Amino acid sequence: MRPAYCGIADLRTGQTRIETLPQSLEDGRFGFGALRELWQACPEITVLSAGMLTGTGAPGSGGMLWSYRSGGRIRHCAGQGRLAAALRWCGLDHLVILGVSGASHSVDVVVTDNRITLRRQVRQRSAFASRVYAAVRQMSPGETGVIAVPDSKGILEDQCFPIGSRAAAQALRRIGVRSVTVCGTGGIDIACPEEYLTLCSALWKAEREKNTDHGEAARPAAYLSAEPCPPREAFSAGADAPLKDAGRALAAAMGIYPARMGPAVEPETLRALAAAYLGEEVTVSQLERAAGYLTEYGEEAALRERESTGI
Amino acid sequence: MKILCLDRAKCSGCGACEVLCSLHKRGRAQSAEARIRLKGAGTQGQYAAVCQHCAEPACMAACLKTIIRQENGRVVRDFPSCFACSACAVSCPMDAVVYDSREDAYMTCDLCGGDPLCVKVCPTGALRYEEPALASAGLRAAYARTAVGKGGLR
Repeated sequence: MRPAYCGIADLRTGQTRIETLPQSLEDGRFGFGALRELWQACPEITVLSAGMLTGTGAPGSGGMLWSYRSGGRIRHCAGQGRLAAALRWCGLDHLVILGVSGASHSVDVVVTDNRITLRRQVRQRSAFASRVYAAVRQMSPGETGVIAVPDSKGILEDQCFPIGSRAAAQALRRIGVRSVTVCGTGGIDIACPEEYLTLCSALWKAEREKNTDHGEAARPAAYLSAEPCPPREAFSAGADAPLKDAGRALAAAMGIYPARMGPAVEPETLRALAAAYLGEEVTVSQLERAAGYLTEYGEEAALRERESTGI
Repeated sequence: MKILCLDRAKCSGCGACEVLCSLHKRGRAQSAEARIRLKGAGTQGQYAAVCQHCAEPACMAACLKTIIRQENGRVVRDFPSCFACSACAVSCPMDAVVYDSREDAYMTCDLCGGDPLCVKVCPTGALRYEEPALASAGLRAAYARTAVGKGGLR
């Protein structure tokens, strides 16, 4: 299995780099496990992770996972949108933001093909998300760039889609990240494209028959959505709960997270898609181990934190 | 002859057409090289860049190797002979000409031989495969409804 590509932006030094992390299906970590060392090395770390199938064309494959430290714990929040898909088209699976920017300035993180740039901006405490979005859009490297801005209600993508909870947005604001822009022109190789395409087409057909209400321009749908959408004005970025159960963790780890369809996509469906994507046999238990790892690690980190603080 | 038409009022910007097109044509999920691409910021002002098979194609006039021609109203190209000068891409008013890095040639939508996949997967039904006259009649009707609604057409 190919390694996970991890873009690291260090706000303390202003430097960026790209590292490869070992990942295997066997240990069920999809690169999340390899991030553990970074979690332990840096007290202030925020990670945007894309799932294995994110951006590959299956219905609902815009899944992503925000991991951040809050109240001494590592918390995960799953969301769905174009941002993580664009990240994978940039050639990255994880975007790791280390440290906190200075008190006088905030940072725009810009990710293009295999490259991360940090742009320092004078910090404005009362900057509205819409104004930030307009300013960042002016500097966007391409028309198709995806821009995420932490708002008071949550992380908003392109001013339309909530892709992270209020707590995740607060975590980004606390470290001084004003926006994350991703513009990728690369692609994702699929081992058995014909088989994968057949599976996707069948899923899309079934979804169209099951759900006829997929939104329209005034009611935007999440990226590669397989779910009905509420009107834009009714969106609440804080509504999508943080990762609560193994089902959601499984969906997020695989990159399929249709939040309003239920707790998880059918494991058998995910298994078939993963097998066609990787070109090797995948079992449901391997996938479930990945989901278990994410939830267990959150608990384990909390326990360690409690032990160290003695609370 | 039918062409691909997009109803912008229905398009939710989900991107299914782009990714499935690249998966079908390239064997990899690569939105930037799909032959139909969604342009614009978010879903506001979103439009699909896809070959409209113009009656008088600018790309055909611009092609330096004259490998672009019309067949039964469709614009087709002999892409193995393309030497990627990009004249067609620059002249296309729809920005619908895409560079295919695998073939090292510029490509446009070939309508999947008359059975476009993007239409099948479009969750909102915004993409349609229909006669240009029918599509423009629909657009005229939609415009008239909007204009009447705003107090126009008096």
